[in-house]
Amino acid sequence: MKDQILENTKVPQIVMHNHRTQLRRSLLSDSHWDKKQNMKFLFWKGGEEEMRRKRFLTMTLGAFVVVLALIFVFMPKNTQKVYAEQVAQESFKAITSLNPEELKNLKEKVRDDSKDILEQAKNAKDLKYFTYDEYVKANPKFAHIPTPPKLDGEKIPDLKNARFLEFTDTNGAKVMVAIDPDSDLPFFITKKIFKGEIIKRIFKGEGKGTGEPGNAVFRTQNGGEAGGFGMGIANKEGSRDIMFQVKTDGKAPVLTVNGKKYELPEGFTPDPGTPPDIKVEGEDVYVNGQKAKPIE
Amino acid sequence: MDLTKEKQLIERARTDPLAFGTLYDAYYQKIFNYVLHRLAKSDVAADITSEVFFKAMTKLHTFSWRDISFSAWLYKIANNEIKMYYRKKERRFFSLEFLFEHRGFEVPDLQDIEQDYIAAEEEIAKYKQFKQIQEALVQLPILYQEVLVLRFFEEKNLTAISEITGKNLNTIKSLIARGKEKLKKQLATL
Repeated sequence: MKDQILENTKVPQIVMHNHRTQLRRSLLSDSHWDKKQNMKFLFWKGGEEEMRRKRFLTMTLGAFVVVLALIFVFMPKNTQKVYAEQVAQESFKAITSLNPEELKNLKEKVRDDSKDILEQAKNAKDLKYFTYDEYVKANPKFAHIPTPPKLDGEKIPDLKNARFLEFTDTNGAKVMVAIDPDSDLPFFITKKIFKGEIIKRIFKGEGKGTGEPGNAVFRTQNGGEAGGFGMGIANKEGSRDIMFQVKTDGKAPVLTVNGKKYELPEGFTPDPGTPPDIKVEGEDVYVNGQKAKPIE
Repeated sequence: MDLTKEKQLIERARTDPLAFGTLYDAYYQKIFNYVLHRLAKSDVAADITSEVFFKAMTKLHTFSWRDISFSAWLYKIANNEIKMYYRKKERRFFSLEFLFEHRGFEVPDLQDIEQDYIAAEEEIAKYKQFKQIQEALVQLPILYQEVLVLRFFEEKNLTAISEITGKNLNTIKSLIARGKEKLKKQLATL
C-alpha cells in the first residue's frame, strides 16, 4: 500500500469561482488587446522567431518586387523613349540635310511637312517607338492598310522593316510616322483626329484600292489615278461611317456618308493638307460648319 | 478540446480577447489545481495562476505549435512561476490587486475572492493524505516535485510530462522512480 501511496492519494479539485471570473474579466478588458488589435497584421502563425523570419522574407520579397517593377516597368519605357527620340532625331537630321528639291519631293510623297512633324515628334512627351510587328499588334487594323504607292519608279520601302514613331501632335491628332531605316526619311504618315463621337482617320498619299471598314482609306474617284486624296471617317467601334472623296483633277468633289452622296458646300476648297471638319447629325452633314446638300 | 479547433483558437487569440477567453476557460481549472497541488496554498495558487494567464496573454505571439502543445506551454509557464516563488518567496506576483494597480484592471471584489480562499482551505483540509504527501513533497528538490505531481496528481502520461519539462522519457522515468523513493523516505521522517 505504501508503495502505491502516490497512486492512491485523492487530490482536491478546487473551484475558485470568484477568482476565475474576476481574473477572466480583468484579462479580457486589459489594454493589451487594444495594442494587439491595432497591430493585428503583424502577428502571424508560429513563434516570434518564425514571425520575424516571415516578416524579413516578406520585406525582402517586397523590396525585390519593387526593384523588378522599376526594372520592368519604368526602365524599358525610358529606354524605349530614348530610342524613339534617337530615331526621331536621326530622321529630322536626314530631312534637314535634303536639298530644296528633295524636300519638295518628300512633301509630295508624304503629303505633309515632314520636317515639322519630326520636329514635333522630337519634343512630344508621348513619343513611342514601334517595330512593324509591335505597331500591328497595338493597331491590328493597320495590317489592312494598302501599301504606300510607288512614285516615279522609286523604290518602295519595305513597311515591315520600317521604324514606326507615334505621338500626339500639337493639334491633338495621333500621328504615326513610318521611317525608312535605310534613308532615315519618313515615307508614310497617318493622322488620327478625335472629335466628339467621330474619329477621322486621314491617310494622305497616293494609291488605290479599298481599305477595310474603319481603316484609313484612300480612293480616287475615277479608279486609281494619281493626284487625288481621300479620307475614311470611322466611328469609335471602327466601322466606317463616312467616305470622303475628293478629285483634284477639276471635277466636282463628292462627299459620301454611309453610302449617301453629298455636294460639298460652296467655297470649300479641297486641300489634302487641310482636312475638313465633318460632322454628322442624323441625316445632315456639315463640312467646316456648312451644311452639305445631298445628291439625289 | 479538439486539436484543430484549439489551433484555430490560438491563432485568433493572438489578437482576439474573446478567443483568448475561450482558452482561459478551458485551462484555468487545470492550471490552478496544478499549482495548488504543488503548493497547497490557495491564495498563492491564485496569484501564480493570475501570473500564468497574464504571461500567456502577453506572450502568446511567441508561442509556436511546432515546439510544444498549448497545454504544455501553460504548464511550463506555471512551473517557471513556481520556481520563481521558491527562489524568492517575497516576490510579489501579479495578483489581481497588482494587476489593478499597474494595468488599470477592474477593481476585484476582494471579499468574494477571500471567500474562495476560505472555502478552498476548508476543502484542502479534508484531504488529509494529500496534505501529508504535499508537505513531504515540498521538501524534495523541485525537479522531483514537478514530475511526481504531474504524473500522480495531474495524471499526465510520460510523453506529456516530457513535453512540459523538456526532458526525455528515460530521464522522466528515472526522476519518477527516484522521486518516489525520496518521497517515501521523506514521509518516513514526518
